[in-house]
Amino acid sequence: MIGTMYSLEMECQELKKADVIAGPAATQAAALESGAIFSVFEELRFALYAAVAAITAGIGLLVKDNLDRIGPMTLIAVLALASAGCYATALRTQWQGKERSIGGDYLLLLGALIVSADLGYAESQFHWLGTEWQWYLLILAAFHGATAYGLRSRLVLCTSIAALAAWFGIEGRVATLFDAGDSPIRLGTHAIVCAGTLLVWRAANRRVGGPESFESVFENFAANIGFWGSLALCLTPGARLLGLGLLAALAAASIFKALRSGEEIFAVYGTAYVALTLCCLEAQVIKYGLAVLLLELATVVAGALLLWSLHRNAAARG
Amino acid sequence: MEFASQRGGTRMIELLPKPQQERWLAAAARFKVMRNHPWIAQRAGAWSAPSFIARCAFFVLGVVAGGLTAAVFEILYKPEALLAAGVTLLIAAEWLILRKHLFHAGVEEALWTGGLLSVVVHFLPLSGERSLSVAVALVLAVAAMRLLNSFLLTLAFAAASVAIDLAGNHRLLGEPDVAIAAGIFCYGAGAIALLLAQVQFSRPSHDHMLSWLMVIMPLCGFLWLATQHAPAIRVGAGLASGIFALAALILGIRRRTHAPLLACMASLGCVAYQLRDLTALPLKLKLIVWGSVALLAALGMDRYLRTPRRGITSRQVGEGTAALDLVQWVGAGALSPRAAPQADATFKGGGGGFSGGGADGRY
Repeated sequence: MIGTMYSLEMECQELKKADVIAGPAATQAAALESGAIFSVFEELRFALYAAVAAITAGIGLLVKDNLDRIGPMTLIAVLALASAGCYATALRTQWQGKERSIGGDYLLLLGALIVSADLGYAESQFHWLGTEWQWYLLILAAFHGATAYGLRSRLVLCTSIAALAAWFGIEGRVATLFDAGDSPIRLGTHAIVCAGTLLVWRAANRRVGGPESFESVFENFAANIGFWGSLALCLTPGARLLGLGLLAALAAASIFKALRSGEEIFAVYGTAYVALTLCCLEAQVIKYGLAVLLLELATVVAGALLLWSLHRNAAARG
Repeated sequence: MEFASQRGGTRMIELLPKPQQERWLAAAARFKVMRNHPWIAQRAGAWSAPSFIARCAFFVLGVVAGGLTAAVFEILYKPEALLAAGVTLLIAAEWLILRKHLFHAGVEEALWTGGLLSVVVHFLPLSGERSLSVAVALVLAVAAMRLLNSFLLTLAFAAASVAIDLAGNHRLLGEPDVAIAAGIFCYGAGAIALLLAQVQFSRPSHDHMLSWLMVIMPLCGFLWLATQHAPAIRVGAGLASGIFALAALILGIRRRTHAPLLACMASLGCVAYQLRDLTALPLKLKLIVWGSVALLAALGMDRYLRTPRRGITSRQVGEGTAALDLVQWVGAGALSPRAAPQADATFKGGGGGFSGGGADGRY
């Protein structure tokens, strides 16, 4: 992941001469390799994320600690103003017909996160939804979803999906899966329903001509949430068969997607999640030590072989 | 390595891809050319390397397979389990490299490292943490050289710093002098990597090794020194990180390479941490103020470099990296609050930690 210092300029020129890479891509690659162009996009993205994370964490602590001193209305108003400022920048860029930069993207994300904190805080103070407080997460998901479409932002779409997953009771932490108390079936079922909802959303996005770039966001979140859900079901004695069925269906869908689109990450989901789930299941069901170890080893080796064969297949198809 | 062939003549066993072959593998990945494109296949030889995402998955599967193999041998050949498991893993890894021509595929890296570690631990006298940390450092270094793996080499250096800290039977994270020695070792390793990176290496993997070292080792050095509370050490650690950040920034811009810039950012983070007591502001305000400063600086940089300045631009050039996009989406989702607050005392926005809403609101 760390950037490289060697130059592949010579190789680039040879590839260009042989027409293996051509057109603007070749010119761009040559410029990058020779150092004529140097993009600090990834460095900026990292810095922006760190800054937004720090501000969001600070706001979280501020909201938690300073209720009495500041007062709820003041705090809600200040947070609303701050988020409005962030949204205004994105709206201005949109109205001017300009392309939003990476900085603008993260400023918009910050605005969305402040709205989330603000709305959560307002709900905690005024209890507008009473015992049905969890619906605020769905409202938040809808608001962020609408903003994501209005401003064409994948980052805001991610916050919308996170709010939707939270509404379904999915926390996004591995520990909860193994420490779900008496409700692993509910956790698993909710995760599966959430994944299904995301796939329906993706289909609707395609049907209404929504941004194509949103599709991969839906697919990745749906795959991960779905696989964790089936893992939770597989580890629950009363729901193993259902979990295994869903696991097989998800694995088949992921692998099919990987083969069709060439996106290797789905081959990884389809093999690694299955191997992990089966290993956990085998350890839970089979009591004899050596047998379970050998079976788990065979499962992992089979998973690796399948992934390798999918990788070769994808490489052959390009 | 040449061997006599049954048909007469010699048969070549390639322990590693040649530098040129490795460069073509790297070129295929960077320019998004199919690895089995005849042009690439002809130049890369029989070697194959999966993508970064697949490599990570294979590495995890390799680690699990290695652990399970060790557990099986533990049941079957208890007294010699580690040796038997280690030899088996090494044979499997070498078979994958020499026969299947896997290079940087993840699985052979996990098996090779795990195998050598098992063998060494089997022969290692149980004389304490120090010999173990030295052995681990050596195993990781040997594995890094055999596999040309930058991550393992960085771990080897980190383990060596632990060995330095433990030298003289000091306890881990013990006396200030020892931590200084470990810290200086780490900063030194980072600085040497930064200087050595001026050399143009023919192998991309050698370059990756220096990149990892220059980013991670100053962080390790800082972590050693950050555990010490003496004011002089705190100032020294902050200064060392500041100087390293400045040097990395200058060299990164001059050479137009990413690793020194990342090293600069990581070291700047260390400086920011050391300056935490500069003001009496509470943590929440520090986070908001310094986060806003960082945000404004990044936005300013983004705006300034939107029009390329001497070829440096903030715009994305070419296609993005799928793995980084995925990390970004997960990161954005992780920052979102995951539950509704019910009681004022437990509310925590912006990545608050309590459980989700779900059907009943129980958390």
